[in-house]
Amino acid sequence: MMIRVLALALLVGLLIAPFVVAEERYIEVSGKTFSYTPGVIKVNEGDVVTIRLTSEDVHHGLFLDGYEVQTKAHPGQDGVITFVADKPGRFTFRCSVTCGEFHPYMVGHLYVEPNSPFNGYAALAVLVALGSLIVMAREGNGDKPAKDKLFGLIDLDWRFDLTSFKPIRTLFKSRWFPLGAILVNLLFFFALLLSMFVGGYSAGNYNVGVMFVWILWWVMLMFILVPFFARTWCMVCPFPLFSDWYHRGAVIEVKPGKQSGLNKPWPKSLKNMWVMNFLFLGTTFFSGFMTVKPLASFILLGAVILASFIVGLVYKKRSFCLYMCPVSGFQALYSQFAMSEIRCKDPEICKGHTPKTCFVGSEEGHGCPWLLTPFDFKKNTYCGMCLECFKTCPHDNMAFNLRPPGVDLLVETKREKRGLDEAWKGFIMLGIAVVFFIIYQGPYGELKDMMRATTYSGFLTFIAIHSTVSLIALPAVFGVFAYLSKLASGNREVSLKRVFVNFSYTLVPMGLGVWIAFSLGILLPNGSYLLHVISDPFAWGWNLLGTANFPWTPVFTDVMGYLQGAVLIVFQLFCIAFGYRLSKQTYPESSEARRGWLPMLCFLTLATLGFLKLFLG
Amino acid sequence: MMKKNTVIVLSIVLIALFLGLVRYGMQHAWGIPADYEYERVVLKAPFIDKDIDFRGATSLDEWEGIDSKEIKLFYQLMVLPWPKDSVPSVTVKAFHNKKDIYFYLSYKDDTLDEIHGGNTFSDANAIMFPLGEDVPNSTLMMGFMGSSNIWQWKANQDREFWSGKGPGARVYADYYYPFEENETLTVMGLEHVSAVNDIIATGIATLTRKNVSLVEGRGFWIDGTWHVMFRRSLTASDPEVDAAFTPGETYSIAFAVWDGASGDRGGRKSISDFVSLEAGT
Amino acid sequence: MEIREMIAVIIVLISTVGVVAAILGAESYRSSAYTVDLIARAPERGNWQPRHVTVPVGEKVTMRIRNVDTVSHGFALPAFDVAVPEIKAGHVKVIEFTPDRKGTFPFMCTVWCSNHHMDMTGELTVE
Repeated sequence: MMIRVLALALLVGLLIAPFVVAEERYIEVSGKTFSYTPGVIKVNEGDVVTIRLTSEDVHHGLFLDGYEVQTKAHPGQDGVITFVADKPGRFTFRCSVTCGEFHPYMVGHLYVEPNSPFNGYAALAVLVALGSLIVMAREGNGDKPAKDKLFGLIDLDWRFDLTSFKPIRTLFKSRWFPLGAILVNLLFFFALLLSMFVGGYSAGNYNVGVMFVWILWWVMLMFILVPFFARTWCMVCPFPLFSDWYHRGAVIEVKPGKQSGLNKPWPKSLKNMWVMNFLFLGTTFFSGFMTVKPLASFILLGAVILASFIVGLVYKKRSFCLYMCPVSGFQALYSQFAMSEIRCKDPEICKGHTPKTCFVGSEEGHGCPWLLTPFDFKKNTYCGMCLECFKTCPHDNMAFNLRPPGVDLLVETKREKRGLDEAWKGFIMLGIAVVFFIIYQGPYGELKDMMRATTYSGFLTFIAIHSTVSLIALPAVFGVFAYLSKLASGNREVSLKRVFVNFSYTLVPMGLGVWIAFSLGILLPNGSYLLHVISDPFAWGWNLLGTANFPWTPVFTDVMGYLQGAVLIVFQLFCIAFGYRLSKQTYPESSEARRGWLPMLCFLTLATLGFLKLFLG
Repeated sequence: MMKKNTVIVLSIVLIALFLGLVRYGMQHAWGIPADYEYERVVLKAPFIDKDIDFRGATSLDEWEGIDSKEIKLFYQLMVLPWPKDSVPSVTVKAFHNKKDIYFYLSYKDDTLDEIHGGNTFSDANAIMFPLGEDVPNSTLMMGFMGSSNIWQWKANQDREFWSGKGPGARVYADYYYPFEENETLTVMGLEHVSAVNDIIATGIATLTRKNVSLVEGRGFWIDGTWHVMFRRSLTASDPEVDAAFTPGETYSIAFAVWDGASGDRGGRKSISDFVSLEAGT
Repeated sequence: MEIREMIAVIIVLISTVGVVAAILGAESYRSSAYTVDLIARAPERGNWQPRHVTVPVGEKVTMRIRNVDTVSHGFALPAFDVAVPEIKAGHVKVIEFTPDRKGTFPFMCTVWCSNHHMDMTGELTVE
């Protein structure tokens, strides 16, 4: 029996094995701002490939990820690279000589087929989904466990209070923290603003303001700050300093009495993410300018500071931070996944304490500037981690906890409801990732031209498509699966809206995973620019740290695809873990929950496959 | 307590200041603001009903009264070695008589150099006609991204052709083809059919002299100035390799000058930017 | 105002106005060492700035060339055998030479940077 099986397997294997003979290939690629023709090249594994680069207009280059060979071409002077395509997968080839404003986005794709990295990860995604079904089936059979453990390993109730270390508690209670960090940030920030202002329309990739904001800070937010430390950026953000100074009448002291300004309450109907959603989406329309022209970034950041101050003149406390700041929006939603939180330690102590100085303030500190009730809030969404509640609590009852990821996704309270605004934020973040990846990291020159507004109609088309994807197309697709979920569950009482909203929280780990993968695609090829800009921040010929002539050097491009795939699979696991729990929260009966989960599992797996295709092949 | 009006005024002031700052930034976005005016020189080739016989020594007089344009010339710096000095400009005239098109070039040159070979180099000049549409401007410098038809007049060739003598079996050592640094071509015993070489180039190092030169040319060096004339039929016998001219149309052309005394040859030359040639009706 | 508050306000001022002033001041001092400060831009974006430079004869010239454009430029002053093959976008090159004769000499860009590249020329007058 065994031998027959083996023989059959061998036969099948031989039939499937590709009968490919390595060829010699010669491809002429012509580079023009800002794309290559052809933009997509396909070769077979083992081929000996020669690429001849010609330039149609100015000095261009071609650097091939993964194989790390490169050449350059002037108009009339071609460059040639030759290599053996021994690594399978999709590899980006990029321009290696700054040739104009969109130079960092001048890319093409080389496919070395068969695309086994993509195939492997795709298969893995499917296996993960199927495996999760097996786990789900098994869970139904046993007793309900006392503790809810993520992946059966991590107790979702686990918390570790960082302030149990005395030095940290002392630091958090000092009025110099986080003010000190804010002031240091302020100093760097003004230097960056100056650099962006002075930089004008010069090459963004050699400007410290553009590089620090869009590579260093953005990547740090996605990789470290938000997933691990929730809204810690808000803790040290220098933007609201001027507004706070004005409100409080002092930079560091706590003065009694009402805060300056009109102190209006934010309109109730807008106490959600909708304003931020549209502002953030609107800001991304101009990404094609801000990431390449220093002055455009100056305008954005300057406008944010100005807006935060003017809104502060009119509205209470950190209303701008809560409901308008574009950065705030995605931090708010994604910090629900974060592995840190600020909560009260013992609610009983709070119950017996009046007045609630954490909310109204005291001599030691201000009442929560984020208009939260520190004694009982349960989600990270609107907590900016300013640490005032640590200073105002006379019982030292506030804690900065480390915790497992994703906890807040399962939390819903009367005052901290789930809502369509947060659902749409999830769609917007995913939509932006998809559109930006296709335009920035794809080989389509016409799309890039639309994004950088070579014509008005092109720019408007881009805005229209971009908005439609985020606001209509993705939600519609998701809506179909939500409907299927409700249908499959058999439940009649739960509203479709609730199904839709609840499951939309699976887009939080998905979005975070997608953006971390996206950020890898920014950091690894272009991170080396940071070394140049820290030595010559203003393009004046400085050389502060001796690295002003550090050449553009992509790193780890051979494993970039594998890393991105791994990130997507890891976050797929989170999506499934929390998605299933959300299903159980949505549908009261466990059999309904399991049936209703299946369409959503399909959606999440298809989405993961879609993103794998986007990043890997 | 701040009043509502104060808030409004303060907001407006702050926004105005910010916008002012942004405006200043935008005006200096490329450094110190500078106006850019660029107008491509237009050379008109009007219809004039006359013929010029290059055999006659009075042929230069025929050019009196026709409008000229002074075309600035620049160092050719893309390929080493650089010329020692550049010829600053060339004065150009053109007209057509519905059958042929005529060009006239004149520029200062202190010495008459018409011997080519060994260590001396002949004076020369050329007109370049890019063929086809969408020819990138960088054709001018490097290399003929699209194909170009070049009419190159050489002083030594002019002397040999018009004096009725053939070249003999001389070998031209050190002869660099224009635009290509290190390519040497030995030319032996070529029968000159014209003082002007009719050349087609389709890419770097592809300069090919056509077997038949359809272009006639004659040059006179008088008192430190070269006067050189070109003539060719308006129509192209082979549109792929010949420039063609239709009255009413505009074409991009460029000029190059080699000053033999400066050691100009091959890539060492002075070239002009593109000029618009308007063929009159 | 308590001392703590004063210190905080001073730090804010240093971090905002102070930083900007210090950087601009440092650069102003540093650039005073250059005889000529040249900006390279493609002709349609402003061309060389300044396009006409005057220097005294016989004295060493330190010239800083800043490429504020988004494409590579080059620099050549054939009269004194000075050349920079390529200055990349956003980069800065400092060159030194001593002009030994009077006159007006052209300098130009040596990298094909735009359709109007041929027009990217300037003049150096030595007197």
